[in-house]
Amino acid sequence: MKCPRCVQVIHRGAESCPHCAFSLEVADEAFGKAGPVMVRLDDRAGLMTRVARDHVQRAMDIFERRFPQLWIAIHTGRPPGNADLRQYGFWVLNRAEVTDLGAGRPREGGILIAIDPDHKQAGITWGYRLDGHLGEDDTFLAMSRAHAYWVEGTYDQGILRVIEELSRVLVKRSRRAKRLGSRRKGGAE
Amino acid sequence: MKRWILIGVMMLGACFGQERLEEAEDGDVPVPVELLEGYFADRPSGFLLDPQDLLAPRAREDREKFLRYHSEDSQIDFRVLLFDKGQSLPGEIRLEELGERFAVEGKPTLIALYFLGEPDRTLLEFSPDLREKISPADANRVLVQAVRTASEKSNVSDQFEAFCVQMAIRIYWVEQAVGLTAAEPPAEGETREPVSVSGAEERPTWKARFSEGFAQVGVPAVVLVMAVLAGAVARWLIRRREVFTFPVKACEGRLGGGHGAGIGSVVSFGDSGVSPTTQRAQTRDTLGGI
Repeated sequence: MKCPRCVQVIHRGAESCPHCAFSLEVADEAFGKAGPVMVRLDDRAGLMTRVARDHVQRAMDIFERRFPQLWIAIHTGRPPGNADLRQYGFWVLNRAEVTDLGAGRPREGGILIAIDPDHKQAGITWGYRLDGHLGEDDTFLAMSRAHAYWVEGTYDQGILRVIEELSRVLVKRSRRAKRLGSRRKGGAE
Repeated sequence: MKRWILIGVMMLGACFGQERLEEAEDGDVPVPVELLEGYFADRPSGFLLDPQDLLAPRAREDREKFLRYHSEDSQIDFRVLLFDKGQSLPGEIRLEELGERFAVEGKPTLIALYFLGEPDRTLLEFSPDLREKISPADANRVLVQAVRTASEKSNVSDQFEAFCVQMAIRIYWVEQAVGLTAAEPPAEGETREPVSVSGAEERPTWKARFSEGFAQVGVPAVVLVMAVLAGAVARWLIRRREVFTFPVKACEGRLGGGHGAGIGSVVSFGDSGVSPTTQRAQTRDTLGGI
């Protein structure tokens, strides 16, 4: 677990970063107490055509059908005040009002892909439901697959690769979690 | 009772045929007397007679298998009596009688007396019913093509193998010519050989083996393949609809975040010369991975 500001390892239950004192309250001071109102595919930077958005939306829907506890949000645009993308992603994930989130789908199952086209950066933030199942390396590999597309400016293709790679990893992690759960049950009996 | 008749030695032409006959008779090394019975006694069970053990056991076995396979696949048996180079047939042996011994019962038979290393001395016999339907010229052509194919090989064993294979091919056309197969015989005025010699040679033995193997295991194999394919499709359909969940556990909040604090990587894509790999180690883990 890392702090979104100083990127140092922090304890699971830390109320604020022991290194830099970062917390959601600090982020609120920078970005505002009220989060953005957005849909899951929030291309406010206008990076994708309508057809491209349809493709991405379809991939997101398929992802959510396969993972009924999870959801994906795409947010494009420059963070206010040229802030760091990690801090902004952390703030958006916790503060945003996602209007088209399916009923009954837990907020803790969110995966936010934030793309800053001005600074040419992209980052991923995820909810507590995926703690222990998704890691920094997984997000790095997923975005590595998208890198070439994003360099070329084909953002939709890059996002599709990220979703594809995340799906692949999460299928494995889900099966592993199921296996481990079965073993624990067997051991308890 | 069928009577077998020697139709003679086959040559490239009538003259050549005569020369060959003379050559066959001109062999000066007699077959050992004690082995004559192995050739000319009762009708043997095998298709290849080699009482002198002229072929290596493996080669003999292969040729015997081939001739047996040909017999199973053909309406005309093909039997070979194998002699050594330069050997002569005993004067008292009448080839007609030899043919009769082979043809007491069973199918029409073609008998070849083959001299190792001297394929052009080969003698052929046809059964009477075959001879009635095949002209000497056509019969001659059958032998000539087989001899020519054998002569292209340098090794005596290879020569014999090529001879047998080519004869089997030629017998196939003989079957058609005499109406022993369902195929139409060649039209009047047309050559008795429907295709060129090279075309006939191209009939691969692997194809025949495949056909035989398919006939034996074809239906079960097709059923098995279909079952595997159906299983694969069913598996794909099931997996396509499969959903993946994660165990629900109490969320342990961090940094005041109500929904999540999973911080992943940030990748820059402003410079195509900077690969993602160079961005992997983004920070130093000063706390040692607590």
